[in-house]
Amino acid sequence: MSPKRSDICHIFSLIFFLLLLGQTPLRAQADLDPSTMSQQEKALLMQAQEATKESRQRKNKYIYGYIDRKHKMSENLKHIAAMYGVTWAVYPLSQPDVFKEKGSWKNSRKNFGQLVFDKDEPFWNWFVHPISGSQLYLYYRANGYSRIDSMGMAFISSTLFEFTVEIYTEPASIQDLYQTPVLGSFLGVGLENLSMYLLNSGNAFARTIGHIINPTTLFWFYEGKVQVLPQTNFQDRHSLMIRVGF
Amino acid sequence: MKSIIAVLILVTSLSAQAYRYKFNLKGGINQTWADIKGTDNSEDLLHGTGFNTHFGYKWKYFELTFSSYIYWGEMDGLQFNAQGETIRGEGKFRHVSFGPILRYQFRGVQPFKNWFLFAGLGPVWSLQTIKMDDDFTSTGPKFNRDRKLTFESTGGILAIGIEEDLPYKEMHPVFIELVYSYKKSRKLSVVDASDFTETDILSVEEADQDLSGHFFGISVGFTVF
Repeated sequence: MSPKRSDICHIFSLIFFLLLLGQTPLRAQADLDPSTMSQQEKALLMQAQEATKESRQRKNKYIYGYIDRKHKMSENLKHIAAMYGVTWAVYPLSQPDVFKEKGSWKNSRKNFGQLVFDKDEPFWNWFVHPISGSQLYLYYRANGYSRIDSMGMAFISSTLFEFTVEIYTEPASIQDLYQTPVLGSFLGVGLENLSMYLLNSGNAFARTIGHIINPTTLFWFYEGKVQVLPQTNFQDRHSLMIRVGF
Repeated sequence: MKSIIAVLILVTSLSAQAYRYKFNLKGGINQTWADIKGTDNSEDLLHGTGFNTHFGYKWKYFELTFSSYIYWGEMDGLQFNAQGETIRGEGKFRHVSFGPILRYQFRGVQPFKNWFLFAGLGPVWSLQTIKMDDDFTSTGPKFNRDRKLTFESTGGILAIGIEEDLPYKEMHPVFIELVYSYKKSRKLSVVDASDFTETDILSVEEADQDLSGHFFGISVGFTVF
């Protein structure tokens, strides 16, 4: 079977396109000898190279990370109160049937102060609670708490949940008290590292996954979003402008 | 005698480089072997795999941690009494324990360069869950494949190990420890496990020593932060 005319045209177009790709300014500039150039020519060449580099790389608008800082007691209380409010909203929404069928204020009074070993399946104790603990940990990390402080704050938040919210349906559980902040922090550190890697990759898909596994990076309170703007006159002045939102 | 004790204290407490006066979180994986006894002299040697976590504070020579050891294994040939029935067979065994452990760090004893020795002791509260496989016998109709037995146990734990002597916890010092614990059951609950979303406790009864055992384990882990 002989090739069609349109196929030959396609092949020629492809070869022409590949040749064009090979003749980029960067390649042309690489052949130049800087030792024979004036200062102005060097500056122009540098500018051109920078422009080429800019056009060929993935641009990160922000650098994601965590900035640990100290917090006032009033700030700690504000965060604990905020998370406490969230748990009251999330608990009935996440388990509506249990909340409706088993929950009552009478139960709350009966369960208040009790601490038992729960008999829940591993799915709850080793999956659901550590995941919620990890999100608590990441919330505090996003608000500038160090790793150990985030774990401590997650412990306070989950203890408040166990002793005042969950008792609406069941007594506080020893496993949940320990595993929510501790296993949650373990998982949280892993999610933190993975999400930072993905968010700083510059890849839109990876960035989306990064935000999904660490959603606190999307909120206004996230303090680790840093914008770094390079500034240069391509001669003798070079600087970096860093913008951090608090 | 006094001078020997004084020398021992001096040698085992020599200042080292490890971090101090800091909260820390450690975690690792563990392998456990246990000699477990059920009712009517039934006995089984069990092997379990799992992980352990320790959240605590480190002073100069002491360290107090709240520790948890979790592992899964399989048991065979054990007999239990629940709801007036005698149950015997093989199945899955899950173990979770919590408790404070006070460790003393022998800073002067370095079995390897930049590793120090430690020993710890503490009480332990534990929950052991047994889920029978299809191959089990029961003397009554109440117990079936959808039920699980949960034993609440108490006991003690002894840990001896070595830990890397590093100046900062951010360098993630590694630890290796041998753990021995003894536990005996206090309370037995029969739980309906047919629906994993709901926990339905069918009965709770006293179960003094219905399940007891010596647990030997090795765990390897590191300081996470």
